[in-house]
Amino acid sequence: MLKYIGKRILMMIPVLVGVIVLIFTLMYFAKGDAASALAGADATAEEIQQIRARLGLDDGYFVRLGNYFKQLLLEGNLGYSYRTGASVSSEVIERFSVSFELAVFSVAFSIIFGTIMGIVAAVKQNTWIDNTAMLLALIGASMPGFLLGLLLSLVFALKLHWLPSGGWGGWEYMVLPVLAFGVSHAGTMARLTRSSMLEVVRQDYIVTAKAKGVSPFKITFVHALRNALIPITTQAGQMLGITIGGVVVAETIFSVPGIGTYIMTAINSRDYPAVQGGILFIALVFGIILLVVDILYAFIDPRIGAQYRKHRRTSKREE
Amino acid sequence: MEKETKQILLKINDLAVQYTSGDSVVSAVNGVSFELEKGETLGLVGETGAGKTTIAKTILRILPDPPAKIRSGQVIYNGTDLLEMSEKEVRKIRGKKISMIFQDPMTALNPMFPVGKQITEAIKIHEPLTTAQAKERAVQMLELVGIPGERYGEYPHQFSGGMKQRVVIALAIACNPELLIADEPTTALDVTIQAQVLEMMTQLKEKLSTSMILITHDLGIVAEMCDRVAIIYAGEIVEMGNREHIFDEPVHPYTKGLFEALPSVNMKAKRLKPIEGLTPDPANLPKGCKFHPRCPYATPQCADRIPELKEITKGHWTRCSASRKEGV
Repeated sequence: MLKYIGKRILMMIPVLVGVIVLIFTLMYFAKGDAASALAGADATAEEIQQIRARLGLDDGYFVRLGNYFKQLLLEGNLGYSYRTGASVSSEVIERFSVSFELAVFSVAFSIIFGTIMGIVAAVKQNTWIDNTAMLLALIGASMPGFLLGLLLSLVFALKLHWLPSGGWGGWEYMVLPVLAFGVSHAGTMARLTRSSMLEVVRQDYIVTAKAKGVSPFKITFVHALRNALIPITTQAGQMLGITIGGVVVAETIFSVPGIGTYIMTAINSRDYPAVQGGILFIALVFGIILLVVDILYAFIDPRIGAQYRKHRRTSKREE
Repeated sequence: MEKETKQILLKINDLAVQYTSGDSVVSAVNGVSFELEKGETLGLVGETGAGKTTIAKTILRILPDPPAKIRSGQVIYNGTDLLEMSEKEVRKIRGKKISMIFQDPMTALNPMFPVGKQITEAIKIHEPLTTAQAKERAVQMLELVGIPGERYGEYPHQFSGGMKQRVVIALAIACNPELLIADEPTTALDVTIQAQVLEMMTQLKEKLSTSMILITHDLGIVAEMCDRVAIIYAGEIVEMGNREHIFDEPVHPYTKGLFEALPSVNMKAKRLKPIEGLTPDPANLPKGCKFHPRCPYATPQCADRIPELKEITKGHWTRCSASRKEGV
């Protein structure tokens, strides 16, 4: 198992290198100039040139890419923001904790509501409950997050004044962004849970459980759900990754000071170290989440767990 | 035979089950009646799709509904009709009084839980035991079917097919059922393992004195294990009698056809002799006698009326004795 985790972590390295090169290249060829953005509107050409020289922006593509890698690998440093001068890594981590909180709550919301709705729909297959649940799920899944976000803030913040329309602080700031992005994932999750539950309840071992007198409740929540959990876990992991990567929209709508708004501002001012650092961090977190999901499989499904353990018979005795 | 003090454990009356999907209605079981005495083994023999498994699942009320619907009939177990019982009451019978061994051991066990735990679960549902006691009993059950007790914590994927079927059997007998329904218990196993499993089932049956309904399409297994045999064709019993009746003096043309299709050890047969034609489409059963399109003795009247099961000698029932009149 440890060997496998080590291998997976090593495999993340080329992915991260690819992400760095890609982002660097895109930013390099993007129009706009960090120095003039930094110097302000009324700066002279000379002042801009000075800044360019100080930041090393006059160097060629490969020299700058090389310098970035050198800094990353030798000093373990994501560099300093052009705009604020602060260390990118500490800024990114601070901003990321906000985004992570938002993403976790929104994914937790979609897992709880989505799976419950999916299970109920599967148990009551082809009844009006099933149809209603699936219609709601379809609407939820097809509603873009930004649209729902705007609608929610229009109704609950501007009209009813129940909740703040933006900012960050207590739980009341979290409700609308979590809903805006949880609802569509909850819809997807409900549909996925329903179909995987329906597939599982047709299996022979469910008939076996029924034939030995197990109650319908236990059949659904113990025998069937455990088997349906693999696709649900995959989906939940991906949702968490996508939500973290996609919080830009939610954060912009609700002006949440998370990593999304950080990267957005950085892109607008061509703050290269901040953009690269932020995106690299997101890629790293995404990779770790996928790894955690794979490790979770081993705990959910003993057959996958067995593949990690080589010496089955001997280790089995202790369990 | 002096079986006057016979005790009827299970009595099925005029059972009819249909499957509906969309517009098509499949009549899987059409008016099946039989009795089972205490300690007796009854074989249900028939081709794939004849309705054997549907009968078995009806007894336990584990048919998938929808699409299956019980149209008529009674399943009287120890004097009460199982079909009239509430779901909750039936649950107390499932796995405790009546239990079932399934056809395919590969899929009959839940892959997510250790095999021992699956047996313990059944015991805990029906017996007033603590978890530790139930576990102890589960270990005994595993050992009874020849699986070392220390494999209690292993998962189904760690067992071979034959071993899995033993686990399924251990699960079925864990609460000492009065009636065991074995649905093609050896079909998915290879021949040597088949023999072991059958041998074990016979021993267990004697030890625990359970009654058994054995569903199979293997006449060899029937000859070895069953006291009485019912031949099922297109959802109907076409002939029923004790083992000697069926094997030594089959009467119904279908039963005769089955035996003629068997290669004999004594004769050098170049080709097998099949029954002509195919099993009828259960969604579109022939009118009258359901076997008449394939029957070598069929007369025009056969297409008009469904023949009744008649007792021709004591305990030997058949829907048709055309073969006897012409054959002898």
